[in-house]
Amino acid sequence: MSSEGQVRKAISFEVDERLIPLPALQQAAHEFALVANINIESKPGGMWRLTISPSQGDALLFEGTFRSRAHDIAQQHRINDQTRTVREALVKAALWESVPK
Amino acid sequence: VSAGAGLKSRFQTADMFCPVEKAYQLAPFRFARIPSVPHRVLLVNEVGEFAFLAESEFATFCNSSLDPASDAYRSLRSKHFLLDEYAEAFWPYAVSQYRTRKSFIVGGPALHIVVVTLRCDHSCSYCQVSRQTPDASRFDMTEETAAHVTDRILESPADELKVEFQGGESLLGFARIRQLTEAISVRAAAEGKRIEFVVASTLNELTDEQLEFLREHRFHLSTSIDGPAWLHNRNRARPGKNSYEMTVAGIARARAALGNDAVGALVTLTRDSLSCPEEIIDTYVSLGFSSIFLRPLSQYGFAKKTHDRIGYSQADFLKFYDRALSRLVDLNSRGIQLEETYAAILMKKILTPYASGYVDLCSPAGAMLGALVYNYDGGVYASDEGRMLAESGDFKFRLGNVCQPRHELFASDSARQILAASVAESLPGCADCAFVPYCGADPVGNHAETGSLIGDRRISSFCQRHTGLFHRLFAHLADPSSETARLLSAWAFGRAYSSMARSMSS
Repeated sequence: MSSEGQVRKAISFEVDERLIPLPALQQAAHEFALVANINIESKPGGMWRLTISPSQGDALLFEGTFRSRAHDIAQQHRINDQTRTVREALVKAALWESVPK
Repeated sequence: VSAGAGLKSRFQTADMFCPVEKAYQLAPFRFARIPSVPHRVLLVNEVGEFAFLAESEFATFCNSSLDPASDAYRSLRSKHFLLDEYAEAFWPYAVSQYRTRKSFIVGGPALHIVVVTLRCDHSCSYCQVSRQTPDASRFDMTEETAAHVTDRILESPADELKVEFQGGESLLGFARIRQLTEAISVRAAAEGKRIEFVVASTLNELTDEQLEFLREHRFHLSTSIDGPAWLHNRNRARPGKNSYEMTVAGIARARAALGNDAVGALVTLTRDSLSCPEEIIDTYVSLGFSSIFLRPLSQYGFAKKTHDRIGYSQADFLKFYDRALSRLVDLNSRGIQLEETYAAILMKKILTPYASGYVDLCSPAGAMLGALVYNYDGGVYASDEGRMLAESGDFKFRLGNVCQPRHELFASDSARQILAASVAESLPGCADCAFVPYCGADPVGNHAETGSLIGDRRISSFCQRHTGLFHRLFAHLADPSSETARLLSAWAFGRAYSSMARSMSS
């Protein structure tokens, strides 16, 4: 609800590319695409402008849910990038040792 | 400017510009937030170990700046979430655990389902196949087809095989069960393989002669009890409207001949079932079962047509499951042991590295790699659900004919497409899911729902159901001293609740 007590049908906000890169925004947008229209625009200075209109409920509340999820996805991507070498080495070692010799 | 001169330096000290040696490196893991566990984050690593961290600890951990002297650090190191100066301990442990989790791949399909006939005297509301009347013998497997089935089953490289006879009503094709059992037993003994035989049946028409044969070959019997008599008879219509009474009588005769542990039962949940979890569970207690498997309805084949009448959403199933679990906790805490098989399978996956043998939750998918289905007409399918789809005209999961050798079946176009969509760790929506080490790929369900073997997790009933179940189980595990967590742990390790409660309190 807005401060006037009205349900907001759409909301726009900007996010910093360094905090939530585009792939994370796109993945979050895909996850929510069945319940909201989500538009992502490029802005100067490494920013993304998002416009979200949920099919139900207050857009302001939805913004919080979306930001939180996009943040988590970006965090998971960072973890994946940092740990990819270990993961690949682990899977290769485990499966290679499983191969009947 | 010298600080000693009493002036504040305009420059940072030199060590600020040196690369910081981080105390540890992250090991691969995924994370999730459980709705009923606020302010804590669940972390699950690549080999299936899990930990809960407070939000602030989680952020610190991800920045590689968690204090090595803290309890959280020691716990995460012991569970292999990080690599530090003791990293050499990580590799042998993690490799061994990962290999154990995926060990089912090496043996090839261990479950072989043989549909000996489509004939059946029941007309169940949720039947997934086109059941035939008891006199329609053209829907029986022929002797020649059964001989090929024997060859295919024994081509499997696994040393331990399970052969499950299904129908229709499988006992109406008992001559074929006898032929297959005898042929497989002789050859398996010569090849050093161990075989477990199972018959899925209503047990309505069980004869003394059949019982003697089943006893001789140490069969396990799997039947259906959907709940109290009114519910069971409504779901499983037959002439006389007495399916429940006949099945209960069959269970008693089978137990007397084969022993109590040789007879198990499954529940199929329809919309009517959702209002009475307590009644269903109490029925199992009164019939003397030690486990109950609360299976939701399959929406494959002919069953899809009845969804509007007897189907339900996954959210409704999960509400039912909550009530059922409460009842089970209450019963077990009063000394009445009854295990819920679905939760036991998931808990075993969460708390141990061992494969459960449950083909629905494997990655790579259990379809084809874990199980093969031989239809009465000689068609070979990647899974039972794939066979059900074929009954309604969709042959996507038909690998070929039983006359073809295994290497041809596994090189078919269908097989290649299934394999390509079988690794959950590489599927969109699954790859970053915290529960993927415990979950599986469902190419058959994906195809049935979306027409694509990859599917869409946003609308996948498989994903909604399992995510919901994992959320519930981890919510209980977040408080390991709770009664429900103790019960779930007891099920994971196949122990009685009372012994688990005693060992945890001591």
